[in-house]
Amino acid sequence: MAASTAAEAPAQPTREAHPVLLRLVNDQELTDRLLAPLWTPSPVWKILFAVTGVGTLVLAGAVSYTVATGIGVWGNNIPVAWAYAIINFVWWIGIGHAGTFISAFLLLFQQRWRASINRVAEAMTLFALMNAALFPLLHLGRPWFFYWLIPYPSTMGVWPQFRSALPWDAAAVTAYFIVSLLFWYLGLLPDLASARDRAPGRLRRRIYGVFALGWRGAGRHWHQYQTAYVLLAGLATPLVISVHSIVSLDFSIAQLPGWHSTIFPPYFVVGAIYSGFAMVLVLIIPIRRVFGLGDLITARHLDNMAKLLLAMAWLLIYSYIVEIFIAWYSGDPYERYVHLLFRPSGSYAWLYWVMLFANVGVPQIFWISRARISAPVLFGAGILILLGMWLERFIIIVTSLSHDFLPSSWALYAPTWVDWCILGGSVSFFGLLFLLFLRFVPFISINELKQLTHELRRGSA
Amino acid sequence: MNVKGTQVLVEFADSDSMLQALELLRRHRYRKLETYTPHPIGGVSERLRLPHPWLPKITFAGGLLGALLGYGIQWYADTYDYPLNVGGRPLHSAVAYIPATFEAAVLGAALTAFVVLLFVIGLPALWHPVFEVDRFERATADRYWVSIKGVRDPIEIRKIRHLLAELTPVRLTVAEADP
Amino acid sequence: MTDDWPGFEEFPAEAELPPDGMSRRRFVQLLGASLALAGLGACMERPRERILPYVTSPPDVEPGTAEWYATSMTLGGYGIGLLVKSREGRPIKIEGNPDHPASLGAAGIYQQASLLQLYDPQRSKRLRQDRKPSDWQSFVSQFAPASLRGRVGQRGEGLHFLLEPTASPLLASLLGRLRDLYPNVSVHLYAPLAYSGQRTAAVTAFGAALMPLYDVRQADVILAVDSDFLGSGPFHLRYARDFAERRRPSSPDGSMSRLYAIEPVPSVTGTSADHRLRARAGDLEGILGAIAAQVILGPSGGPEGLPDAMAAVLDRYRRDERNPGWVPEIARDLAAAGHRSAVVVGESLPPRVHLLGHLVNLALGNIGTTIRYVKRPLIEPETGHDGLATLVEAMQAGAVHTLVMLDANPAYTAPAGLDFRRALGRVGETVSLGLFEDETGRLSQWHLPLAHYLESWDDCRAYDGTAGLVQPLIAPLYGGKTVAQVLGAFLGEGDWSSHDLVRAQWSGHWGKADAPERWNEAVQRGIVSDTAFSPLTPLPRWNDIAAALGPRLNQGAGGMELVFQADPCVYDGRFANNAWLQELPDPMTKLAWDNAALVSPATARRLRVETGDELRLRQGGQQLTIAALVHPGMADEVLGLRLGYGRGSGDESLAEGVGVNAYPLRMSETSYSSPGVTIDATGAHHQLARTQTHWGLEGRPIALHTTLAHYREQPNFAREERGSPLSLYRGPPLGSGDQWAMTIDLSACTGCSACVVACQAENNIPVVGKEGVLRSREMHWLRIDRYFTGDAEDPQVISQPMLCQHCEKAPCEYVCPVEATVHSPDGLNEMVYNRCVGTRFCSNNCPYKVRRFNWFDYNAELAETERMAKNPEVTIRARGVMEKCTFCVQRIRQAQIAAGLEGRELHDGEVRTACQQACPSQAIVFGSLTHPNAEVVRRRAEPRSYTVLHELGTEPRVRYLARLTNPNPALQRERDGG
Repeated sequence: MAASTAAEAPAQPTREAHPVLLRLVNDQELTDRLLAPLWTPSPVWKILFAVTGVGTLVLAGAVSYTVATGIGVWGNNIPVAWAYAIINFVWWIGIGHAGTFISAFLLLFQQRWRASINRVAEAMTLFALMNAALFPLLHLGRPWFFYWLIPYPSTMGVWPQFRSALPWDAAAVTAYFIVSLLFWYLGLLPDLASARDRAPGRLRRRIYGVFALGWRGAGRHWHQYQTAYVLLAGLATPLVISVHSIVSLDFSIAQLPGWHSTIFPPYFVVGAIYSGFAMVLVLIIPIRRVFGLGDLITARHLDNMAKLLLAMAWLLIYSYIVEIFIAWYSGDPYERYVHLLFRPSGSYAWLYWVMLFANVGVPQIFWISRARISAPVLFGAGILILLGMWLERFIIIVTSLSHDFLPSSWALYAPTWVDWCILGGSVSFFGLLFLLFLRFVPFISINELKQLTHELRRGSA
Repeated sequence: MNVKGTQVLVEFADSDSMLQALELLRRHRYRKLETYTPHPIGGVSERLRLPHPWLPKITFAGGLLGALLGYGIQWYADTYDYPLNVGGRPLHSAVAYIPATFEAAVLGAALTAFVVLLFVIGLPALWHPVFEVDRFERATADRYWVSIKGVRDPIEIRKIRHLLAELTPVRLTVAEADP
Repeated sequence: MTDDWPGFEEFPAEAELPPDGMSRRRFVQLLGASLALAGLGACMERPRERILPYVTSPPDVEPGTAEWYATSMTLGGYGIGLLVKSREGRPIKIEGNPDHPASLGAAGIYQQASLLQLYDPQRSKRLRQDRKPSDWQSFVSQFAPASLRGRVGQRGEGLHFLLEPTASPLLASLLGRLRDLYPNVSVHLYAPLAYSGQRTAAVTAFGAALMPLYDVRQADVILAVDSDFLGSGPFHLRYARDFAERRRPSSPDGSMSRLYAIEPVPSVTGTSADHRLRARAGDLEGILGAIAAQVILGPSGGPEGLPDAMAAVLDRYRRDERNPGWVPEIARDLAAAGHRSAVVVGESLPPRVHLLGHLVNLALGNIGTTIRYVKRPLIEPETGHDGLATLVEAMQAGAVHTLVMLDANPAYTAPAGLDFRRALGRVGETVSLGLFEDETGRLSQWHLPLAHYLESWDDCRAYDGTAGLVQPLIAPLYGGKTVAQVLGAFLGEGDWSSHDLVRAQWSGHWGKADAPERWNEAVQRGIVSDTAFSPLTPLPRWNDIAAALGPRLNQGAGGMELVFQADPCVYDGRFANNAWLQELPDPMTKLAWDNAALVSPATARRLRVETGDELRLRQGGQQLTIAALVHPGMADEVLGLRLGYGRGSGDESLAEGVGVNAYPLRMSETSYSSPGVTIDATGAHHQLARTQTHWGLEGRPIALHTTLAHYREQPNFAREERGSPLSLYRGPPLGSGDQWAMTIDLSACTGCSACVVACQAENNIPVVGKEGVLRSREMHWLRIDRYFTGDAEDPQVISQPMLCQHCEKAPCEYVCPVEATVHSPDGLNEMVYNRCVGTRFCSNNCPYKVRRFNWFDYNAELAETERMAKNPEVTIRARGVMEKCTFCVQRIRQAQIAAGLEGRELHDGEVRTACQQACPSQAIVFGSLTHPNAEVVRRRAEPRSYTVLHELGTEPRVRYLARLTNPNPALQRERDGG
């Protein structure tokens, strides 16, 4: 079958080594294949669901314990008043950047290959953001007053303090989540309609029908829809840049050595997209395998992702170099101590070097073209890079805090079991949300893929 | 059935014949045309003579509003409503207001775009006459439909059937038109 | 707010308002409610007798709703005068009595923390016989002469008393009358830290128990021989005050005194010295002897008329070649200073060292200028040092029928060699009177709760003989009795109240005529005027001295030397149950909630141990294991042990299992040092909780220090570190009124930590326990940073009190997302607890790391009595909020309100922060920059004033005055050379 279809659909004329789609499936088959997972869950799915479910319960337990007892159950101290919660926050929100980047950026630059993976990436963004948003709330001493960061005419007559980066943060994350959600949902609309029209049984048809809002693919609708979709993409693009820039300001507006650096905004954005791509790979490679989508998520996708990873890695390396150079060039003894002494040779040095290996060393393998299309290599690299990026945030936050200006107040930080449970739990929670997504939402944009095959046919015809 | 509110629905297996059908119908003075397709088809908008969407202008206005609101709140709170000496910084710390203002702008624009879109295309509308048409669900899978509204008498319908014959439509049905 | 502590949380909100009747009523309601819970109605009861507030309010306090009473606390036998603040009948803050010669307004850590002891929920609450509860009446009838005679014999052969050495006139006369009643009664005076060397030496040298009082203001050169006269002891507050006066030249051309300290274990005095010289305790006699020889014999064979015996003795000392190289230089310097010098010998040292000290002082003609001799105020036992050893002998001989232990804990403090516990088994009946049912209390048949001094009428004498009266601020919480009352019971006066006993004593002393007036005056002022002992002229008995010094011990024997010292925080163990003092880091080692074996880095290398490694110490058949703590500045081959830890088997559960009990290792009941301990590492490791773990300044402009000479050459060496650095923001104009600021003089600061406890008491600062300290979550708003400079083996030490710097451009403020920390118009960096959501961003951005976070609800488990100790004028902080130094804003506002009511401006010195008030050396000065001739303004103008981390542009309102030392150029060269 594969051979015959390959014959039936000659690879479209292109300069790239790998075709975007191995074969041009006809719309009927495409629709059915991509909707099939919605009707019948695979056994793998059930197992993973159980595992992540348990992990999520662990998270719930650890969170309740923390809120009931106080964040003293964490390892934080003075001077290291920020630790795992903020590390996880920055890590997750960074991961949440790839989705929009892939959808919006690549859409604007008309990278057609995005069609096979953008839905997954966007969903990942949303779930990463939901995890990220958990931590700023949780790490408050009195989480139940989080809304004091939101500007509203309160009876106390007091407002948030807008010179602090934290309200900026709140604004950025909120805006980013809402816009990402709209963008994702808008893209989903036509596929929900397809699901409605294909759904077995009345109930499912009803449910998908409601979410499809009555979409019927009318020409007039497509006309406005496409404009809106591009508009949202255009808005999401600067937004994605702004969000991690603002997150980086949480650190760089402080005068702490190791934080107070102007390279931070671009540095953080690059790091964010870098980790996001890694996560996308870690997600799509198993999906591709489990659902047998090798013909839709092709070597071309892997190759492109690998190249992007490599590019991002080098931008990151540049940021590292600038950060360290400026620390030295500034002549500021505190900056010099943190960057040139404490990080490479201090108490947390081994983490520092592991981080450099994962973030700087690992991606260099993608100079080899065979590595770029090897699923196992990409998957492994993705995992390592995710680890490395988590460590990067650990280094930035903990090393800077633990050894700042007055040696008398220097102290080290060590996490408690609660810290570990929350970190592990949030990963499970992310997995859980993602599994639900795979189960109930068309996880590859059917209509965009049809559009793509359509245009490819046109090109080949 | 209510003859006035009827429409003729023609189903095609491929988009090209649908586009040609549109050409043909326009040439024969059929104005009230609409298409239903599983994915956007280049050229449809032109053939339906759809005006250039004004969504972007509204969106820009929405962004502007968001920005003004964002900056306004900060400026009002710090300078007038509750001025406080915070770290010896000026009460009106313009630079510090930029990030939140930007976010407010983007949020305003995006919300506007989304809401206005739904308003313009008249969704949500969970029911529509075409849903009643047999096999119309394939319009979201792999079939391309054309609708000609306000067609009443059988001769007219036969004429259309004849007209589109060489484009080998899958089928042609008469249905109730949207209210 | 769900997590708020009911009651007290609301009140302080009102404390910001003028304390009107409304809020007071409300507070009493709340308090009443909480007391009803605890069933402690008695707590609010005032003493029945008339107690008199302090005559005139001390300068630092506007009465408001608080009343101040003068009283005294006795420690180590001597009294220190205090003023105690009382709110609604509860004592809530203890400060020094400016009129009292041993205090001059300052208070030490023990005096201030004794407040918490009063409210300790674990205090002994009932009088018991064996296991059954009993009462005072049955005790009295049991021990009244009538019934007791039958048991202990007509002349009281079998009757033994054990109590601490005391200077109380009342106890003296009671004991006298007791002896009249029972001629053969034995009174044993014993305290684990009461050393006899000084007295013995005085008796030998002058034929009378005299002791030297120093006037360090007159001294240009001071030699402290293992004496911590600035940091501990009954007169250290006064000495620190006087000493500081000669240590802070207001201008480069001012003068400074010079202090040499020779000691085995770093002390507050040693680290404040210009030259701290390390020596084993065993070598001190030789060293001081050599100095004495140099001074007296000089280049010529010494003055004519010098007895040959003496010359011989001195010559032997001089010829001892084992003495370190700096000895002659010190002698030269002392000699040069002539009669404006002083040699201070540590109380704990043996008689021979004291004799040498007397010799040098006499030879230099210091008597009358820097030193005056007075009679020792302590009650002197009839037969030599009638201490614990003789008692234990008698007990083992079965000669003790009735043993009465008054406020003593021998079962804990006795050295294992004496085996007090077993001897106790051979005693017919045992009575113990104690604040806690401690180790001794548990073992005795009768146990009586002791009345805390804040619950008692009593009297005492200060170190200089000044008599003071102790008046209660609150009726005994648990029906405790005073030592005098128990003695009274033995005299058949069991029905006498402590008030009657004291009153009778002093009426007798004054004679009935003018008693009432003098009584009132004494009670109000806390001291009995002109009772200080007048100086006596000592008549040295040269031959006796020479004879006593004659056959010289072979010293420095036997490898490692053990040195036992009172713990700087829990003293001899009696404060081990005091959370404030347990949490207070040792001023030297910064160790909290623990004790350790201090060793020098060199010795540690030799033993191949590091901080935390457990050592097994063996001596005289005794052994104990304790963690090592490598401490620069320790003399080599010396192992310093802090006494007072390892409490157990008593009611004091807080202290139980904290640290290791070092008493058993002592050779005799009051041995200070002993050579020949054998040490081996067990291989185990023990976690020591220290509040500071890095000692270097890393070349950062934090604690500036220089020598007086260099200061004279370059008066403006600190210019770079003050003034306004370049900034984009001019900063909004500050309010027109007062502008509060503080200066801290590092030259005067000894690091004694009195300010830390003062701050804790004033501001309701919670304790976090050892786990908290290990996680570096201690809550002290004011901490004392300690930095080492110079030689790693024998460094110089700088103590730097670090608190909120109240920056005019505070980094903490602009990062707070909810305006919970903002700036007040009068220049305070304010913390709004109720608004704080706990992001902790402020702490991250505070370069001084002085902000503290409530990781848990630290006030949740407070006992009702502990809540009574809280200062109602300061908010109890909720869980999850930041807190930090407020410049004692409650004091500022109260003063402003009071001044406002009188329609006048505040004048300088009217507002004093708790830390400033407690500081014995007056290193801390607080005031408003708007007062033209305020002390704080004058000090800020000094050339050596600077701000910490100035280049960050935070513009702190706290300025430090760089530490100045006045080293001997000759020795300085030596140090630099070597």
